[in-house]
Amino acid sequence: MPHFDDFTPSQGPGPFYTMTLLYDNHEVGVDPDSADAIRIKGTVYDGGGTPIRPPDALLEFLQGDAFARTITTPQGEYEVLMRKPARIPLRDGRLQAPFIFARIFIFPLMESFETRVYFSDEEEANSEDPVLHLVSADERGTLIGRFADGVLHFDIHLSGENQTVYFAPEEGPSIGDAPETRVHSAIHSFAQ
Amino acid sequence: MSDVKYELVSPAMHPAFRLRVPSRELYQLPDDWFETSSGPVFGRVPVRPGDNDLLHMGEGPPLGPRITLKGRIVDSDGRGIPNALIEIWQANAGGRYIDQYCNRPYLPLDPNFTGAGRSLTDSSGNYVFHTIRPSGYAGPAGTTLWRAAHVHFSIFGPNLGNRLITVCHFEHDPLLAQDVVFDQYKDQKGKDRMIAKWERAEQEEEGPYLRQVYNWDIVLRGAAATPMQR
Repeated sequence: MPHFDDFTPSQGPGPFYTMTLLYDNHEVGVDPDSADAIRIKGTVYDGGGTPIRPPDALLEFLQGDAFARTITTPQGEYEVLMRKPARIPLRDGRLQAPFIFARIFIFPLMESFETRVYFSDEEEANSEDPVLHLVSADERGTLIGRFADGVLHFDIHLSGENQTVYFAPEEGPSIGDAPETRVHSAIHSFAQ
Repeated sequence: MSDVKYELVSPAMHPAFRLRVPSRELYQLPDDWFETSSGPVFGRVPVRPGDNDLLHMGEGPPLGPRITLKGRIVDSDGRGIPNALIEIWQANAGGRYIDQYCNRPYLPLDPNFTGAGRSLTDSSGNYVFHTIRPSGYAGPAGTTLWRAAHVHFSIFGPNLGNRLITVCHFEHDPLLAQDVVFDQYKDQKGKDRMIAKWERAEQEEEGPYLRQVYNWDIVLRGAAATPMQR
């Protein structure tokens, strides 16, 4: 497995990134008039339940050609417009449930984290999803957004008992070399 | 047990930031599980001609030494990554960012310099920015921290696995020796990967300016090939 210094190291975006990374309609990831557009809202909390104020949380949502980027409000809240995707197969043919990739950049952490936003109204697809199956039952709920009033609610907990599950590719990230964090070695051997 | 090679959060930061560090284990997935998406299409991030030329965004020339900052973005196999999206942000020659969250209002703005740029790599993975070398700057009031001069880089490769935000520093900068943020990587090899190399001085084709040329290559995790190309 490659070591982190085989690559250009990750750094945090710092506090002064909005001048470049936020552009007009940055939070709008799809055509707002499209039939499958879906609003995602949530709050970002630290491990003590304190909302993350701007500009300390930078969030990116990505699926296919849909891409939205935003920061939190002073209350820690975010809102983006994305689309609910179709079920996409893994390369081995197994179907995944509909989900959206999310990447989280948190000041002053040097690494970003990746998670997945699943949909609460897809119970059957979720029950078959190979990635949700890898996640322990008590953590699975942190990945599933809840529908209410036509909006998907997805809170993000950075640490603690309710921490949102994060995923890492085999090849990195370098966080595996940080003394503070660990990767799930049992899952790693299973996934191989 | 093993030496600490990497600090996720600098010990110089307030202890409350520990509550932002994940306490559960990350789930590691095979690389190709991240590539089943067709990857980002950045049609929603505007990149216009001239967005890579920060020297000509105002009515006159910006303050500070003019530089060409160029290099190549490659994957872990050393292949150039074409069409990667690069977004940069940097301080001006007085150490000031124009950003709305900049907490040093006492530092001077430069009306001819935004410090914000965008570009795409060419078919071989090469990029170029025309800008000024930023000043390093002091930390918030009450600290003794000085950051070395740097330019922030955000990079989108073709795959989700090679999303990267990192920082370009400049070689021979004496502030590198005491920059505690830069020093979160204890390993010299990792540090060296975040330092642009001075290459030459070059006369600009038009105008009287002699520009410094720096080269900074970037190595992304993961392979550049999209699933369809494999």
